[in-house]
This record gives sequence, structure tokens and C-alpha cells, in this order.
Amino acid sequence: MEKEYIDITPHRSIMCKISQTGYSVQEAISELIDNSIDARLENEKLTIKVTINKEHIIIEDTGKGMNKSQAKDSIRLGYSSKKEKLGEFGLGLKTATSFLGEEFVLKTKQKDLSEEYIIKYDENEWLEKGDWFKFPFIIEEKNDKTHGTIVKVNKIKIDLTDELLRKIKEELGRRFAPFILNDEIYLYFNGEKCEVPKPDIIEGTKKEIDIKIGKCEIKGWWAYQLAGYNKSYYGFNTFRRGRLVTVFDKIGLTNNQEIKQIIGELEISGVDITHDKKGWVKTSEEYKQVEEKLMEYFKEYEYKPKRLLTGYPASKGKVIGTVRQVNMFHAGNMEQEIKKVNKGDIIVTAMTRPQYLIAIRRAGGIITDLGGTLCHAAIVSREFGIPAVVGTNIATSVLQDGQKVIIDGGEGVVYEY
Amino acid sequence: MNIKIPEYLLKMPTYLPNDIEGMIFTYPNKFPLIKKRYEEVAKKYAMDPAGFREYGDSQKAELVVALDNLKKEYEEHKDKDLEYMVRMDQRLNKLFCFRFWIVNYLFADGPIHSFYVDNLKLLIRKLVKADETEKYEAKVEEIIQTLLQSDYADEYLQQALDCNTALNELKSIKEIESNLNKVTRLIDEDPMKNVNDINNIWKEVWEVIQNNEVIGKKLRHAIYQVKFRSSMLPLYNILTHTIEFRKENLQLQEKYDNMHLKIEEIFNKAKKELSADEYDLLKMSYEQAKNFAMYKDVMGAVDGKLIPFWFGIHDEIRDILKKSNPNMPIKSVGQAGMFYYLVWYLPTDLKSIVMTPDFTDFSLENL
Repeated sequence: MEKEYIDITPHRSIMCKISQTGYSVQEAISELIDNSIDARLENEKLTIKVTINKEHIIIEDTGKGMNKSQAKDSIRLGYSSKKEKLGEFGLGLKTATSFLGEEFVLKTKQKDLSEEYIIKYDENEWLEKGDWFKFPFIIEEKNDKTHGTIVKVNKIKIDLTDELLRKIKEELGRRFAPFILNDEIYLYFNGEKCEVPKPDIIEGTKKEIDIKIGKCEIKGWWAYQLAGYNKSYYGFNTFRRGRLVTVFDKIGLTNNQEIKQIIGELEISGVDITHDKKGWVKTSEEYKQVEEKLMEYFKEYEYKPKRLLTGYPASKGKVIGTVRQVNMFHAGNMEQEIKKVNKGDIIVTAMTRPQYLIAIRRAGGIITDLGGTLCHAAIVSREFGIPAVVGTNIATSVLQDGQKVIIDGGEGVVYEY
Repeated sequence: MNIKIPEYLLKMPTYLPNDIEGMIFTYPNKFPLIKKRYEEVAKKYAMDPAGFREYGDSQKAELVVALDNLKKEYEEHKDKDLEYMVRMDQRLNKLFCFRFWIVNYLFADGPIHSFYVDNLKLLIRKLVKADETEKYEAKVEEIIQTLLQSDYADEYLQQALDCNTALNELKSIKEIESNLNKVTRLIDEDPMKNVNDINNIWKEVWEVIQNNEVIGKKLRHAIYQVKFRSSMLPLYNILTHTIEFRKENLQLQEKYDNMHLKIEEIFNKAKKELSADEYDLLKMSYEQAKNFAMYKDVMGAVDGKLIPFWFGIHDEIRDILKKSNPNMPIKSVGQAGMFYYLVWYLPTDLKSIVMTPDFTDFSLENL
């Protein structure tokens, strides 16, 4: 037997390849924000500003900044001294920046140090002549009391649309909700504060969860959501150490009608997440235990509703709401009819008319006697993303004002609640 | 193009899904020529989207002219007796049957509509590829919804989109700045609970903006409602809507702006994935489904004029009949209300006017 020792220094291209994780832009930016959050100063609220335009993406924070050795290590692949923190894998800076653009510059400074440390990375230059053992590290003198880290990504690789920018802002508010709500950070996106979206839930249905199982802990809340959601938009926002891991996670939830109205937030500890932080390690024993426990917990909330009506599936989505009989067909007292409709109510009417726009916008769902796939009610409900069942023939005769129903706009069925 | 619609689908239907007043039973009996007229145009325009649009426009033009004429005549007519009112109702029914019902119901809800919607759904199922059933169904559903929605902004959507411009205009008027801030706070807090305070502010705001051209144009539907309902509430409602749904309205604008690109993408994919005949059928199904939905909206725009006039006559007839029929139940009625409700209480001679078939063809001159 002969034994040789070979060189397994990674190929330079690994620096680029690691970014090919199927990130969304929001996820990549969140990775960089994770690093900022880890650098919070004690007793000081951290400000993180995210600026995105066609030329660059900048993430700057007012955290403690890195010292020389931390700054040097920050470019090392897979290195992390941050156990039990968000940036625990030592990959985020490299994967995220590499996903977002061809170049990045990191500048970091601590309050009491008179030096600023700079790392510049250029993908093309690295691929051509990068050296694992001689990466340039710049030290600049800076005699002020400023502190924090700024990451600027240039030559960006993503296609920025207004819709994407809006989504990023919304998602950042949701992802970092616990930190924002705990008053630990200010998070700005292109100069505007990121707001935490308020969940639309049915009043009185909110319940707290606090379950311990082995070394795992599940804490949070759940509730039945108000009408108006697409049928796959149910489940939990799950968090680990305050940072969002998954959205609309169906952990522990079955396909039961009632269960499919649940939304909530769960902080789960004791279960590992994947290295790209996009999900839980579902094969782990801990995950399976948590899933089983949640399934057991939600078993008592399962319910098989009675089918009341069928019609044309005009606009997809499944909602629970209170029936409001609105007479739009005949010339009645329009204002009285409009006043009946509260946010999330289910409008039951012979047909819809444009004069009732405000009531329709407030509604969680629409059921009509008349109409087919192309009727006004069908079109308007698709336009405004409201589940609708049309052409039931008998809805106004069968459904009672104030009655709770479930609409399945994808199947064209109305169930008793 | 190799599309064939089975002959039987071009015949006068015997059932319509969107027909609570049973016009499909009443109209072919009262106006027997409607069957022939419909079958002629069904044959002509079932596979001619551009022709259908021209036809729809011509029908609406005549509908508006005839309606204005009838309304003027009715308003100017002195000493309106029951017979005059009943005859006016019958003339309105004839106009509605020949110039509204064909486009808005027989095409848009009838068998030709079903043929195209069914084919569109079937072809999308053929077009979509996905490994998992759930993903496949979700994709199919998304594309179907996009194509049925089309890139046409109907009156509901247009009103919502117009609110964006109206809001920008409101924000640019200095004199109402503080009122606008106040009303925004109240609406964000609870638009239902605060409705009285909100409407009081709108009252003050309206004093300032009532001559503003941009706002006048963008909120024209509500302003029209104000006139004929003699109430400011339709206007206050749309102003509240402008603030209450400001974020959603911006998103709608964005979605609407991107709609044609989304549809183009679907058809590019369809061109590659489907056979030439299937592609043509998908394209035709989309065009016609869009036309039918669009012309429901185009024709429906006369509702504002038609309904108060026509239903007003019904109310007057009902009030007269109630006097000699104290046990007559009070019901709300739709367009065909004469045939299924009022006729039972009419004197015999007028009953015969309503229930006698009218074998004459429709024209503006002899209406």
C-alpha cells in the first residue's frame, strides 16, 4: 500500500459557486443584515440602512464594527466565531454578495480604534489571479469615533423591478419583525422605515403556544386569518434566534379545511437550520419531534365542514367570513347596503355593480346567485384578489345574514363554518 | 386557422347561467325574431374577435341613442297614464332584448362563451409542465386566472386605478392639506367607526376641490351617482376608498402595467409547446373570452342611465297598481319585471299588450 498526500486547496471558482444556492434577493440581503444584527452594541439601538439602486446595493450599520482579526476572517470561507448567533456558518457575506453582484467592498471600524479595515473583492479578478494565501487587506487611518460596517455590492447581477423592490421592503419588515418589534433595531430600505406587516386575523381566535419537548422549545402564537388570502398562504412564519427562517411553513398542519386558515409565528429553538438558512433540517430527530408535537396539538382543531353551495370557481382562495346580504341588483338604498360590509365579510348578492366598489374592496369574499367565469363579480374578484364563487343560483336565498361560511374560490364551493 | 365550433353551439341557447329573471324564456316568446337575429350574428362573429368588437360598439351606440330618445320622450310626455307607461316598458324591453341582451348575455354567458373558456382551460392544462401535482395545479390555475383576467381594465379596476391620480391631485392642493392628514388618520384608524367624522371632512374638502378638472374626471362615476341619487355619499365613499386602499391601488397599477408582458410570455411559451392548431385555438379563446368580459363592461356602462329610468317606471306602475290591488306584494324588480311580476295585476287590455308576441324586427325608427 502506498499513501500520498495531495493538495486539496479549493479551486478559486468555489467563491462564485457558493452563491448558487437558489437565493431570492430578499434572502441574500437578509444574510448581510444578519451580520449587522450580530454586531449590535449592548444597550444601543442598531440602525441598519439598505440602499438598492441599479448601480449598487449598500448595507450599512451602526454596530460595533470588526476588529482587525475579525475583519481578516470575514472573507474566509466557512469561518465563523459567532456560535449561537445569526451568522453562525461563516458563509453569508461571501454567498450573498457573490449572488448579488460581481464586486463588493467591505469597510468596518470600531469606535475606539483609529483604523478602518477594508476588503475589496472582484469576482473576475479573483477568478483570473486570486490567491487563497495572499488576499489584499487594506488598513486606513481614521481618527474619529464612528463605528459600524458597510458592505457595498457593485456591478449587480439581479434585475431590479419596482415590484421586486416593494417585495424586498415588505419581506425585510416581516423577516426581522421580532428585532423591530423588540425595539432592538431600526431598519431602513431606500430611506424608508421597514414596517412589520400586521397579520389580519379573526378577532378572538389568537392563542399562545408554549411547548417544550426534549431540548426543543416552540413559542409563539397562532390564529385564524381574516379573509382575502390565497389558499396556499397559511401556516407559520418560523423564527430562530429572532430571525425569520420560513414563511407560511406548514409544520404540523394538515390539509383540513379549518387548519388551512391558520397563521402564526413560532420561535423554534433546538432544531438546526440548513446552511443557506432557508429552512429547517427536516431529517433531524429534533425537527421530527417538533412536527409530531405540533400535529398532535392541532388535531383538536381539525373540522370537517358541511358543504352548503356550489357554483363557478371564479377567483381562487379560501376564506372564512361572515355573510352580508347586499342588494346590488335592484335600486335600493345603496349607502345602507355598503355600510353593512365590514372588513373581511363575505358579500352575498345576486350580482355585483361598480357603484359598490368600496364594499367589494373591504370584502373578504364574494358569493353571487348569477354569473359565470366572465361575469363582473368573477372579474372584479380576480382583480382584487378576493376569493369568489359565482352563479350559485340560490346563495341569496340559502345563506343568512351574519352566518359564518368558508368559501373555496378555487373549487367553487361554500362550506358551513 | 383550423378552428371549428360545432353548429349546435351557434343556435339560440335554451338556458343561460346569468339569468335570474328568466329572459331566456321570456324574450324569444315576446320577440320571436330575436332567435333569427342572434343565430345570424353568432355565426358571423363567433370566430371573428375584431368583428365582434365592431358589432358590440355598433349595438352600444344604438342602445345609447334609443335610450336617450325614449327618456326624452318620456320626460316630455304629459299626463302619463298606465297604458303609456306599460307601452314604454315594452319598448325598453325590445331595445334591451335586441341591442343589449345579445352582446351581454347570449354571447357573454352562452354556449360560445363556454366553448372558448373550456378550450382555454384545456389547452393551458396541456401547456403547463411540472413534476408535482400540487405545483402543476397551481401553475395551471395561475395561468387560467391571468388569461381570463386579460389586460383589460374594467370599470371596477379603472375606478381603483383612477384613485391613484386623484390622490396625487388631492395631495398637491395646499388648502386641504390639514384636512387630508386628518381624514387619512381617521380612515387608517377605522373607516367604518369614524364614517361620520370622515364624511364631514370630505364635505369641507369638496368645497375646495369641486371645480378641479383632474378630480372631476377621475371620480366621474361617483360624481354621476351624486347627481342622480341626490346624495353626496357616493362621492364621499370613493374619496374614502382613495385613501383606504391607497397602497393596494398602487400595487394594482403595477400589476396591471405588467399584465400584457405576462400574457405575452404565456403565448410565447404556447407557440413553442402547442401545435399550430392548438395555439390558434388558445389565441382565439383568449381573444373572445376577453371580448365577452370587456363588452359586458362596455354595455354595462349604460346601467347608470338605464336602470334609474326603467326601474323608476316600474316603481310608478307598481304604485298605481297597488291602489286597486291592496294585496299586491311589494317586490323589487329587474329589467324583465313586467313579465313575471307586474303583469299579474294589470287590467286585461294591458295584460294583452304585454303578453302578445311582437313579430316586428327592431330598428331605431320603429321602436
